[in-house]
Amino acid sequence: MSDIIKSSPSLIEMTSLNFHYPKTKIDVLQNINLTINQGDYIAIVGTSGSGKSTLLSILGLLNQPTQGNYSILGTNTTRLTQSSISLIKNHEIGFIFQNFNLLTQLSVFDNVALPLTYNPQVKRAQYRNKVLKALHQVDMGDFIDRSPDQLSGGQQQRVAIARALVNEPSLILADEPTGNLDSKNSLQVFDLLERLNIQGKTICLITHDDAYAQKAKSIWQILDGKLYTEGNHKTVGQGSV
Amino acid sequence: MTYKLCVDLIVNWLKQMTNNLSFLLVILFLAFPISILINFQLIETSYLDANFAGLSKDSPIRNSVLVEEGKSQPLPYYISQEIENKWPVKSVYERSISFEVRNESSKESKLISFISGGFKSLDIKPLQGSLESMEFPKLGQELVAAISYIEWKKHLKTTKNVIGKKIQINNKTVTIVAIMPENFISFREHQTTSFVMPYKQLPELLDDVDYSITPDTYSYLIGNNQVFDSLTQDITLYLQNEALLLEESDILINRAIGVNNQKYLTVSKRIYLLKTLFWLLLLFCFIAFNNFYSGECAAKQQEYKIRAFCGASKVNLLVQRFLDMFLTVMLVIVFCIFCLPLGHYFVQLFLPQVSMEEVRTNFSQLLNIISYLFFCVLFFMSIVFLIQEKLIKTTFGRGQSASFSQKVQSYTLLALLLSLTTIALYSSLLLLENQRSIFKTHLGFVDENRFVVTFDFPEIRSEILQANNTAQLLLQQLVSNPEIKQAAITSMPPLSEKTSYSQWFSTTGESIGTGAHGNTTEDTISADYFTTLGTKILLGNSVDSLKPMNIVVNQALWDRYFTDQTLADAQLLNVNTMNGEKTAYRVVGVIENIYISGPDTQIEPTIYSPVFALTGFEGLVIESQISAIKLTKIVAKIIKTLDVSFNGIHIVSLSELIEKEHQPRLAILKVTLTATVLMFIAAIVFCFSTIKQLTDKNARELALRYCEGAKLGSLIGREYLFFIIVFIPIIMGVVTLFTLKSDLLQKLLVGTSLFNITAITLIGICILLLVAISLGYHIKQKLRFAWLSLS
Ligand SMILES: Nc1ncnc2c1ncn2[C@@H]1O[C@H](COP(=O)(O)OP(=O)(O)O)[C@@H](O)[C@H]1O
Ligand SMILES: [Mg+2]
Repeated sequence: MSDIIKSSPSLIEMTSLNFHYPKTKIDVLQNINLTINQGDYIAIVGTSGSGKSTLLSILGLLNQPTQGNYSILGTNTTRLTQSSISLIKNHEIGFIFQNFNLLTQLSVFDNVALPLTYNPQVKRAQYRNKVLKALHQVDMGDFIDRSPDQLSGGQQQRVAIARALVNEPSLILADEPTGNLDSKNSLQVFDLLERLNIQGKTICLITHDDAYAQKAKSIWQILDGKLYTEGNHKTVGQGSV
Repeated sequence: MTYKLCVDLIVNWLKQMTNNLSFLLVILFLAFPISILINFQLIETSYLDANFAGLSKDSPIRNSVLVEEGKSQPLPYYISQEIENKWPVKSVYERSISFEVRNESSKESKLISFISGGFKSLDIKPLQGSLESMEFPKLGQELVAAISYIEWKKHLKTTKNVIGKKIQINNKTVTIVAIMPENFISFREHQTTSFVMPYKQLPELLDDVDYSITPDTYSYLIGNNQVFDSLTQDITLYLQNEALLLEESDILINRAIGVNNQKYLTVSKRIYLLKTLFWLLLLFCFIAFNNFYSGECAAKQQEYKIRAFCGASKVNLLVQRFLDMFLTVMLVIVFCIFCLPLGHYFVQLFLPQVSMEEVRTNFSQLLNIISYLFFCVLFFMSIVFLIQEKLIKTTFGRGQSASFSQKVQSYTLLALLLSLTTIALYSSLLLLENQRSIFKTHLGFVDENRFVVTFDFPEIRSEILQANNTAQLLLQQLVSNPEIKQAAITSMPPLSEKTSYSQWFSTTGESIGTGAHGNTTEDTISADYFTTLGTKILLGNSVDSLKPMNIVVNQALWDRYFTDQTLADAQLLNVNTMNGEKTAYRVVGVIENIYISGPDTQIEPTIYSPVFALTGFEGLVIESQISAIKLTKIVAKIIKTLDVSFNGIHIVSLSELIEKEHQPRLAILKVTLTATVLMFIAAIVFCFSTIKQLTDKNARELALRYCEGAKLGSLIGREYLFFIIVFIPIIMGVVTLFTLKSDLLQKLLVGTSLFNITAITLIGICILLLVAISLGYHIKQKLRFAWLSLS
């Protein structure tokens, strides 16, 4: 798989992609064409219900497009088996959600180590180093033994980011990562994402906050299931709150 | 890969469990009643295990007893004959008595078992010799016996030709024809038999012509297991149709070999009751467990979803699902095993009649039960998980609305749980009330400073010395001792489990006492028995040793047979066992009822007749201020001077006996309290947790209504109304079921009315209040942060 990454110039390619949820007829996504290269930092904005999360779920291989092509690392995803999809999710994609999705009954350490369980290349003995490294990246190295319950929202989101980073994926998908955070913590999270992008991670961000969207290298807007590119930041401003 | 995955998953599971104390607690709740039920099961099998008689678990033998008015007795001959005619079974009698056994070198009192055959069917093979002549003894022929293995090893191992050897039993010559197998210890538990003899030869040994079945005889049926099944079903009805059995009487066929029937019946009745109670408790805990586990399943599904984001494949998740379930079931099992000793302790508390040292743990049976349990729990949990998977849609949002069906489901479970609690609380209240009244019952005697003196069953049946004055002499000597205030002779001292029967009829020919077979309880006493015990004489006088034809009866007898008569012309007829002649006796007094075997037993119509000569069967009642040990010395000394064979003197204070008699009832009280407290705590916990789960799920809807201007009170009221609508039909159903099954409880609560609407309503209101409080609390909590659920 790593051979493919090097030989392909673009990380993700979507061509004339359509999607509708099972049992519904309306296409939530229509004729999407999107290319994301290694090292990109893109933001997707749009009103509530416009299909941002749906697009992200396809990017993250949680849903399959009903029409069109989606290639990741040069591989057409329609031809992938379930187990290789799981492997790609595990190795190449890190997810960040609005509501953190941490397991409260496990410690910070175990939460961050979760993706390592499904990575056959990592031995149990390596867990500690990898987890610590990821936690240090998000400045949470001192909280390994805490339970997520005992952390503030911002700290929880940073732990969730560490979990997304632990397998050193090339793509990070963030669905309104600051939706549950105050401005101070939000700022921290965006700084973190910027730093990660500088370190070479590709980032795809969904946000409704205009100001934060500006931090991305390029902005896309989704409107009624159609994707428009926004070279000029100033015209974007219809985000939902 | 798979190995690492499994290790990771197991480690994570363990970590999650140690952080999930409430789940551990719920499992403990579940494990406790299970472990108690396992203990009951073990007791039952151990109790029915008759390997002391060299019998295996499926030996084709059944204990058979006639139960009349709650009292068990061996099958009368005419009934066992009828059974033999109707079904392909053989009836067998067994009685164990001590006799003096003499051979060239020794003279000792030994236990002899008299058995009327069946060795061949039971596969009891002698070590040497043959049991043929034991099986079919011919009357008038030489007396034969089989020596037990232990006896043979102890005394006759070195002797050659044991078979054919002659010994003296009760001064009769008996020939040894066989050596019993090594695994035959006795036909009764906790006894060691030295010789086995044919039951038919017992009268000859006793020099009795007509030999009737004594209450200490055990009757059995030997046949095959299929026959027993049909027999057990049809026998009572058949005999009643043939007019051989009274309506209220019953023939019981069970596996209790060699155990005291009365004790067996009490113990098995108690076990049955306790088992019912704990099954109920288990059901309760199961509902609670299910309730909690459903919540866990929802959390699990959320976890699986998160894991899927982290790259878990479907196979991985399947493996985890299996592991989660398997480990949880194992945890339940481990908890059960750890609870077993605790259960053992509690069972001991609940069943003081069974000494737990006698209960041998049968490990293969335990293993069976546990594996059975494993599959049951696994099956159950899979079902719950599947249902939850169908019901719950995992959402990653915050405020949610509980769906109607979810609400109905949760409230139904809660209502069921609370209804059961209501009934449980009510039952235990009844039980407490009943115990209070039993403790208050006047026993018909005073126990302070009173002692009961009993002697061992006389080993040698000496010729009864008629017309001697030993009784008078004994009493004189006792009372002349300065330490003894009063003393009296009785054949049935209170609470000493001694009984004596004879046959009495009323002048109209009605048989006095229990059943049609003319067993009347008769106590042979000295004149001052009632004053010694402090029993009130309601009418007339006590018996008089100079007036042998005067008797005294108790109130129960008087009320039943002499309703409108005066004492002056009250008479009863006694049947002479030798010639069947009836003699009239005058009733000269009526005394208050004496609860001879405790306050919760039925009072038998009893006749008190004067004692003349001592036979060795009597007991004494003494009033004295000194200790039992000192008294024993004094009495023993006096007994020695008399020409009566009393063996093994036992003196117990009456207060001690009363205390011992209270024990089983106290045990029931303890069970009830334990179970009730357990149920009540569980009910409170689950009421709170269910309502919390529901309000959490319902947060958005509640918040919305709140913001739209609904008052807090009306929000709580709305939920409460919903609950009550679910609760009312369920509690009515449960109460109806309780009413239908109430005969179970009725047996335990002699003389207490079962239905007290006020009490049951009061408890119901308390429970409803509990729900109201927890609803109010949780909704208020949720609304404080209403904006969080909406923004
Ligand atoms: N599981 C689903 N089944 C059917 N329709 C869905 C489902 N999830 C979302 N939708 C619909 O798809 C559209 C896009 O939703 P989503 O991508 O979540 O929007 P957003 O841009 O707010 O993230 C919405 O109109 C929503 O109703
Ligand atoms: Mg969304």
